[in-house]
Amino acid sequence: MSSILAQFGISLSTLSITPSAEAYYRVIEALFFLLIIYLALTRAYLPWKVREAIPANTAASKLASWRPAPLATPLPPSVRAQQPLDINILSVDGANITLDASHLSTDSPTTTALNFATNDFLGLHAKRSIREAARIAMRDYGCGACGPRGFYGTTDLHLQCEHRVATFCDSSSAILYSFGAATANSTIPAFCKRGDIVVVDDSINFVLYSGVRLSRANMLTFEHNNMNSLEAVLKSVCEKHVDKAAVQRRFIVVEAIYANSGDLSPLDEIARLKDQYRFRLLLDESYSIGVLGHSGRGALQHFDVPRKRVEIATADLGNAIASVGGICVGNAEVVEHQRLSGAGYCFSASQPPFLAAAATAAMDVVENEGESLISRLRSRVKLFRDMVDVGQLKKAGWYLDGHPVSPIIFARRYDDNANPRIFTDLQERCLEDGILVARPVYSTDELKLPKHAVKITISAVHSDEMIRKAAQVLMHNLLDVGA
Amino acid sequence: MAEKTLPHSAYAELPYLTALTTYLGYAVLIVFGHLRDSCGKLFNAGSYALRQAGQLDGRAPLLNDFEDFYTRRLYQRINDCWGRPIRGTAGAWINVLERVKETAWCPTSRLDRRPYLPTDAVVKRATHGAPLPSDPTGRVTTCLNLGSYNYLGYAEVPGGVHSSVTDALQHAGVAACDVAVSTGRSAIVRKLENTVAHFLGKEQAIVVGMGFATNSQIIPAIVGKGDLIISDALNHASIVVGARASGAKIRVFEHNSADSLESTILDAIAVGQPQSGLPWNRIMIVVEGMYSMEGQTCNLRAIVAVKNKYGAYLYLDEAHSIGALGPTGRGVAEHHGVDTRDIDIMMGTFTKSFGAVGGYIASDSALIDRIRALSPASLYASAMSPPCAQHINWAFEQLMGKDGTDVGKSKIHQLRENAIYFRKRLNTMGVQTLGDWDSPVIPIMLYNPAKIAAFSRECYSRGLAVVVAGFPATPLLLSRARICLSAAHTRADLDWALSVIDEVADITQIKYDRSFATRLLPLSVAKFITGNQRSEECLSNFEGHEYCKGRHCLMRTHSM
Ligand SMILES: Cc1ncc(COP(=O)(O)O)c(C=O)c1O
Repeated sequence: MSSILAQFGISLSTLSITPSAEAYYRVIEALFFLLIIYLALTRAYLPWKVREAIPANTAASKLASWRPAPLATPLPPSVRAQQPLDINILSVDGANITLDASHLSTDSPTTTALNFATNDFLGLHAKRSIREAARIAMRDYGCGACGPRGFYGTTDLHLQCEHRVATFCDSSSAILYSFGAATANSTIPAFCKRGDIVVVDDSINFVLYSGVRLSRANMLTFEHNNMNSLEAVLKSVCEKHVDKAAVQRRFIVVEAIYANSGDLSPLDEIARLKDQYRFRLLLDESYSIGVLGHSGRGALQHFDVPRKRVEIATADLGNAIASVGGICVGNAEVVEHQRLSGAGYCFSASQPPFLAAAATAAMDVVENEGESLISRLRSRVKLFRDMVDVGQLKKAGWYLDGHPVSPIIFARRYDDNANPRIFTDLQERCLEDGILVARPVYSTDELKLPKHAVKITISAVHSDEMIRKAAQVLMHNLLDVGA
Repeated sequence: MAEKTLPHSAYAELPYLTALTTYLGYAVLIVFGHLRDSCGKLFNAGSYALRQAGQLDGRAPLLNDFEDFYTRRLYQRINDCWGRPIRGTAGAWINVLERVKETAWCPTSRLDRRPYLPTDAVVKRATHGAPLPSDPTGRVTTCLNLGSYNYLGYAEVPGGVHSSVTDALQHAGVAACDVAVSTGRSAIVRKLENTVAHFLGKEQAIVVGMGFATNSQIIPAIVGKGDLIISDALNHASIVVGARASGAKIRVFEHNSADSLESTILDAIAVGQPQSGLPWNRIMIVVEGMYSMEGQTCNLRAIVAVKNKYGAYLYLDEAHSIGALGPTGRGVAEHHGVDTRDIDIMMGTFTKSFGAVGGYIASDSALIDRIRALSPASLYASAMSPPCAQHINWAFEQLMGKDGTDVGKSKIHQLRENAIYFRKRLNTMGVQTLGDWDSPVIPIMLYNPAKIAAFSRECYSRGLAVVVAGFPATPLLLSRARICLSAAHTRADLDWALSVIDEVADITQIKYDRSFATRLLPLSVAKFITGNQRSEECLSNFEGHEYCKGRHCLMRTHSM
């Protein structure tokens, strides 16, 4: 702008004839001066009243008395008490996991346990064909592509994986992020801006919640999985903002299987409501891809909802797909927009190509063997739940969270004020009995802080024997600790 | 004031004529864009009509008007300059896959094109009719890679990745399938964390599976309500996201200016927290080690001096500088001779010099413990892929000479040689570059929007892969190309690249230092017209200085 003015400044200005850069600045200054006067006269507020100048001596005394707090204070006891065991994993082989046992009360330097902690629902982690695909890709493409997708970081393996995801999800296009925990919180701010409305389930996971917060859109919550509550919120939005319907983007954000509880959301009902009230739906499928639906395509298959009714779906590839990365599925407009506006996509190096290759291979496996893998997983989950005597647990103050199809199961206390220490104790006891379970920790910034829990993950690689053992160990220890 | 900041501002060398034509260029683009939209509306055709058709269901448009207009009418015209797919490693030479949209102006005709097996997607589409513009055509060209952040050449390991990396793949698998803190960390990641801490002389380190997430999810665990973040104006998006998510107040200081930083701190302390006026709990300065769009290292000494004077904390993002700067690759602190104890929080990524993925934070034990216990990056994110962690471990071993060879050392040396040589040759060529004289990132100024695509396409058609950037990645006027040098480039590679750039620079007329006005008119008049203050004198300063710790005092013309 200034230069254009400057160009005219030469011919028009009679103020200064000396051919130096000064003349330009004078003209610009004069114009700005006029602008300031104009603004001062026309605006309702008086700029010099906005902030009073701070007297020099106050500033000096404030400076002299300023004492910065330390960078890191020691962890408060409440946080310390909820820390999980510091487990050093040496290797993982299917259902068996080898750990460094030097700090456990055993003699040998290592110990093995049954793995009920990692989210490898279908056992794809140890699948030969996937490892082989990853090995070949690593041989040809190295360990990383050394640049963002826009700057020569795109390899044909990424394109192939995006295409594979799109066909797998029965969508027209898909976009690949390099990290699951940076996917949904890039997608949401790419589409929702200040003034838009996002209606969220009050139990959404932290990644989604942080995305909504970053977007600065107006967030409204509805009661977890309560469709009456959802409808009431949608209705009130439509009534309150009738005039904005043409410009205000409105989203519902839910998870298919909730990461923090294993609950299943009633997707068919949500899809109906969002169409009725003209909202868009963002569905997080991190825990449902490879889990729900008879061949593992996710929640849409489970509820028989066509893809085009879910505008945006995101997922972390770090669970059933056993890779590292994230995906977002939608129509071409949704996907292409993120290639320019998804912060975690454009401002980060691309996913290592071998991880994309592994994800592609994993989806091939689900495509080919999905039905048998899924039915295996279902029967394992069912067996585990059958083995646990809920009535007995209830008497001891425990309950299991999660929908019957969910492979993640949380053992929680009814009592809200349970000592956080007992969950770590529980993890330790189970490990001593040869079962590794997870002890999730939640950030206090969660939208609704989940209760403390130990988390048991069921996988298709577990044999009936293993499931029985795990259920017994868990039952025994829950009753023991709860007593 | 003007004297101090102008020589280092990228605007300083912008010729006035060029500024005018750049504005004109955008004006033409915007006017024609709106014309085309009006026609689209009138005749119900084209991309505008398509967009309208998508909005018929009563919902608000998914994209806002400006974003959408910008994408359709500005970006899409030249979007072939970005996202060119490659096949194979991002080493010194890369195989770039030709796409359908490139055949529109046929850039690859001069090179021998080799066929490659198209992916099944393309085959399917080809049998179903029209391929998309972004589909590969099935032809590959080999290009010299001046675009990837492959500073030390670890993207391509001669003979394939080290055997320990494939071992890690066999033992630990492709991924860990879980969140680190709830189940435990793997031995490989622990080893990496110890190595990083040791390498940087810090007590502890934490490793995250993505560099972006390291910033965006760990800054909120360090500062929060009641704290103040003072951030460099040109900080990376991940820092901006992290700062926003933290709940701390954010103030921005002028890029790389210690004076501006100091006055911002003084003002902030004097004013206190908004509304309440209470004193700030803590003040954290966030800067980058090397600004990748500017090719400029941070003014670390002066910033550390300011931070120590006022008791602020310093968060240094070394995404581009770790490995790439300093005689032993320890980053910008070593480069400027600053003790790492003066830097409270050191962040970096493994996606650049290490050719892998992920990021780290190295600091005092107390802080790392807090981060582990509280940050979303450790509570909710997947652990780093074990083979990647092992690759980085192996690269660190080489860099530290623990493998018994001097491969690592010679890589660092080679990168520096290449960087200095290339920039010197570019400057004598007459193109305008930004950044430090010895930085491996060299932005070449293009200014005019039309030259963005022209430069990129002309280079590509001659077998040179470069990165170009325009608005919004850069200010509207300051579009540029960016060269990233690598230790993997040989002198012959560089000489060839320079000859290509020379030719393309003539075609696109970006030798602003040798512009028509500069050559034909008397010097004072030319300077007046072009606004160009620069001469060869700063160049001659570069000669004859050995790499030594006191060097920055000689080279820096900055005010401290
Ligand atoms: C300064 C800075 N910080 C962080 C990042 C993000 O790192 P990554 O690409 O590993 O996600 C980048 C890279 O683009 C960067 O330049």
